[in-house]
Amino acid sequence: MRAAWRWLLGAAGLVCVGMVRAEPDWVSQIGYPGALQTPSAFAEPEGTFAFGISSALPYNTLYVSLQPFSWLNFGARYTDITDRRYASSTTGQSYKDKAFDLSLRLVEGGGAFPAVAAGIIDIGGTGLFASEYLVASQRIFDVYATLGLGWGRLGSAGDFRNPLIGVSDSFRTRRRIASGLENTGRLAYKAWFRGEDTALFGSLVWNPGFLSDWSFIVEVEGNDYSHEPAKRPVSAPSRVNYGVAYVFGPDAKVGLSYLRGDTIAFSLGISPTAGTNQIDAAARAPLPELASLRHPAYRPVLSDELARNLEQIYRSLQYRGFAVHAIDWDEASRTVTVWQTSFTSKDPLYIQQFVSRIVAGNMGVDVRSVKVATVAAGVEAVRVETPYPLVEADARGEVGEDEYAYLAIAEPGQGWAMDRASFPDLLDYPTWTAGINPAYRANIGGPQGFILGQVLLRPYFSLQLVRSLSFTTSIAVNVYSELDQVSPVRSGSLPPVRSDLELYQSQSGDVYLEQMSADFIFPIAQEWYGRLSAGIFEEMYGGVAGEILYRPFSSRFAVSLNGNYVKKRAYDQRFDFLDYEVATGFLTFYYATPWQGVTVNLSAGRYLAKDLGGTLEVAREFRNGARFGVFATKTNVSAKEFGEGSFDKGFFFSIPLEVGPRKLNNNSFSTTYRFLSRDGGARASDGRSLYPIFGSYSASAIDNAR
Amino acid sequence: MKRRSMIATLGVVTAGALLWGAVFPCAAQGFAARAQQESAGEAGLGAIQIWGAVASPGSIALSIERYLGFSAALASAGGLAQSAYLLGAVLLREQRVVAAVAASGKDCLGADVLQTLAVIEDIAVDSSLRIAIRKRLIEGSLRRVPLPKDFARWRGQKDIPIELIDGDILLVPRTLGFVYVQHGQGVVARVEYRPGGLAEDYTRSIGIGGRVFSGDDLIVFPDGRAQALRLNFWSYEPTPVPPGSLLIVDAQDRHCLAAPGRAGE
Repeated sequence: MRAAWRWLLGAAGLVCVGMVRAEPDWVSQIGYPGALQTPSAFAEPEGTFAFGISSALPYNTLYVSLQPFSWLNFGARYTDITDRRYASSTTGQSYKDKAFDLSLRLVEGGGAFPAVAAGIIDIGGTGLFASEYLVASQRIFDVYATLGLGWGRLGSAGDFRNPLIGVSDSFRTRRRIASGLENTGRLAYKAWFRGEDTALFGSLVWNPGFLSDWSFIVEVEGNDYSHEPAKRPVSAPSRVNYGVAYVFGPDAKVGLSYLRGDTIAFSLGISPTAGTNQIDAAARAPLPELASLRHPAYRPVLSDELARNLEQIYRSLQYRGFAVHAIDWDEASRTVTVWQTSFTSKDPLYIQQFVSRIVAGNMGVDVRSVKVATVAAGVEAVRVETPYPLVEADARGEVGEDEYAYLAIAEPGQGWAMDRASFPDLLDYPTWTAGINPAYRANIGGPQGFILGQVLLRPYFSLQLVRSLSFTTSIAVNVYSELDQVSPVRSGSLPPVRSDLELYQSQSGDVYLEQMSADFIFPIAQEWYGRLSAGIFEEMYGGVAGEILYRPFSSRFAVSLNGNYVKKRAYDQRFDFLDYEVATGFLTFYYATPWQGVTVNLSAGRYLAKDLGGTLEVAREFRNGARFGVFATKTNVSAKEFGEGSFDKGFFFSIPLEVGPRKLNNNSFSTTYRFLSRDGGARASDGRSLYPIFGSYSASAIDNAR
Repeated sequence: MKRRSMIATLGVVTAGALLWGAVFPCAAQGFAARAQQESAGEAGLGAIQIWGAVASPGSIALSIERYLGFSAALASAGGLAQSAYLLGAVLLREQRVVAAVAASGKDCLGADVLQTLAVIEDIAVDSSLRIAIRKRLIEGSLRRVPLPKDFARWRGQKDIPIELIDGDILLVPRTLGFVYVQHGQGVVARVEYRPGGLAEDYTRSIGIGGRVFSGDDLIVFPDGRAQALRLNFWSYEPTPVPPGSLLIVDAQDRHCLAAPGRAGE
């Protein structure tokens, strides 16, 4: 009953996010690009994040699908096999299978040429639903036709002998990964496109122009359901499926279908375009007019006293959502420099336009140049300079934004220059913020229940003692919890540095201390930044840490070195610690490739279980801040020592939430999913990392923020 | 009496001319320029040409000093139009030593010249003049004089330190609505300018995508300066693409494309 409610709540949540769109949705009932149960070469637009549920008994599916590129789709899903028991379950729950899919568009198509794609379903692990396919899709007026050839489960109908056997006899045998926990999580590449049988599948999706929110689908499966992981045989009187889908929002779809000649199925999903390279300039606060261009009757009366005019600049900027740290007036070069932190935008050029108009309009003397420095975490991160004629030409609308960007001069932050300003320390410290956030923490896929969760209230208090030193405290207060049922699932022989997370979830009590730490962030030199941190960093570890970041302004790379000495916290998550303590450290290389927003982070060092190794993280970054990525960590422990999963790996996504016209909302929805949480390759959070703060303040910020 | 009426008539004409000059200064300057041109032509002192977004485009005769300050030249042409796009202004000067350049032929034009050839269709000049300029640029008898980088910032200021000499041609475009993309030595494609668009947005829009690491891609800004495109392996220079920029993908004769760098003056 509880499970039913969860599905229903999930469905209601998905319905709530819908609005209006008029084009077919290419997320199948399983999550990979396709019609109902069959794949297609059409896929969702680049940047799409899809999430949904479907039920086609004996299977229920919960999927997440990411489209980092127009030519690549990556999906993860849980399949609930309703008639099969989860052997380790203590509550009699049904079997849940975890699977990952990959689809590559090989030919984009267009005009008379169809799009062609290849895909692998259930890449590794148990391989219960393992299939591979090659598929072509073509649009003919309002009809989208797809024809493909399937291997594995998708080809079980055996229409044809595997044509690849003609190439090599090794394609005859479909070899699965050997059983055993140490083999789980490995790629089953020896089974790909292999086996005696292949079968055709295809679909027709009619998306009529006069009913553009509706799609009518008919498809033929290559699967005859003769080799299913369900406990009881799955009847399939027909290979033909029929379905109808209704897109009721820009991002939501509900579908009803009749499968295999005897099964009614439904699906519900959302697929918003979370990552985009189009920045909505209209969402920004409009730029102020330049006071000196107003009609003389409406111009502000400027004082002869420089200090009074600078004070007016300070007040005007503060009123418009800027924290002004310092102002400098250089008489010789007649240059005003303003150090500020904007709460409305992170775009250095927009900030430059905004601030320089305020500055130029409030100076009673002849200003030749305006420099605006952006301060992040109390440290100058970037500065942009514009001569006054350009400010005026911009205010008159005589230069476009790209012309402005071309003519403005961007430089890296100048270290401690802010302290040498003629009017330093304009902000009063200490400052503080406090509030209460709702939170939810979950345990997914455990033997005690598929999803067990806890609803929390999270009061926080953040104190900025001086410009560079901050204290953050966060407490969690239980509202409703199912996590008292969870217990650790141990595998491997490493110290339990992460695998006893369940003990922290079950023994933390109704109130526990989540974080209490201090960060001191400071410039070392131009393009060099430093950090010292101490305290309780996260729910499992506390200690001391330090980091140095080198971020060359006009480069695609950055390097950081961080080290920490952390101690494992007691399970009640108060102030006590357990006996386990360890020094970890990493040298990390960050690289923004010139290729379609792909970033690569490579780090090497010592991990929590005292294992040595490296982590590779590859992500697609969009200009609006969305990130889709995968990571893998390999250390000097064997697959057997590591336990189930062989090595640490997973995927993550981060989706920025709406940016309002008057307020910069830095919130984003971020999730990191590990295929299995184990002890090898585990890291502790050790304070506020420097690269997320300063990494974006490079020359690329001039391009990417617009 | 006759003399008095002559003086009166002269007075009225002079006053009228002064009034005309006060009310229609551009026209007065235009007349003055033409008069100056006529007298200069008679004296053989040479002339410059200013075309495009100015009030009175055409030839302006030089004075006895044989050069004209930039602001004075613009004033002689009636001043800049409101829509003038100074970043895209092109100053062309006669090149006396033609042979060496001409010998290298069309395949070896500088980046700034390629950009001029790309935009010249969209600069409002007479078609016969356009053809002549194109021909002379290709044969090498005209070269593009780099204007100071912050030239475009000096709109409305009078101390622009540029002098125009006999034979100079100044083209001042109206704000351009296109970005130009050339793939190899292929035909230059015009892509509609999109504020905030990056080089890769423009190249992708005409079907040039999937580029990874190439040092042979250039952007030539409207002022003729060039910069390697962001498709560099290690370095990153901001590459805003102002309207009128020329993107050269897979530049064939990189050694020929030498042009003042973005940072250079």
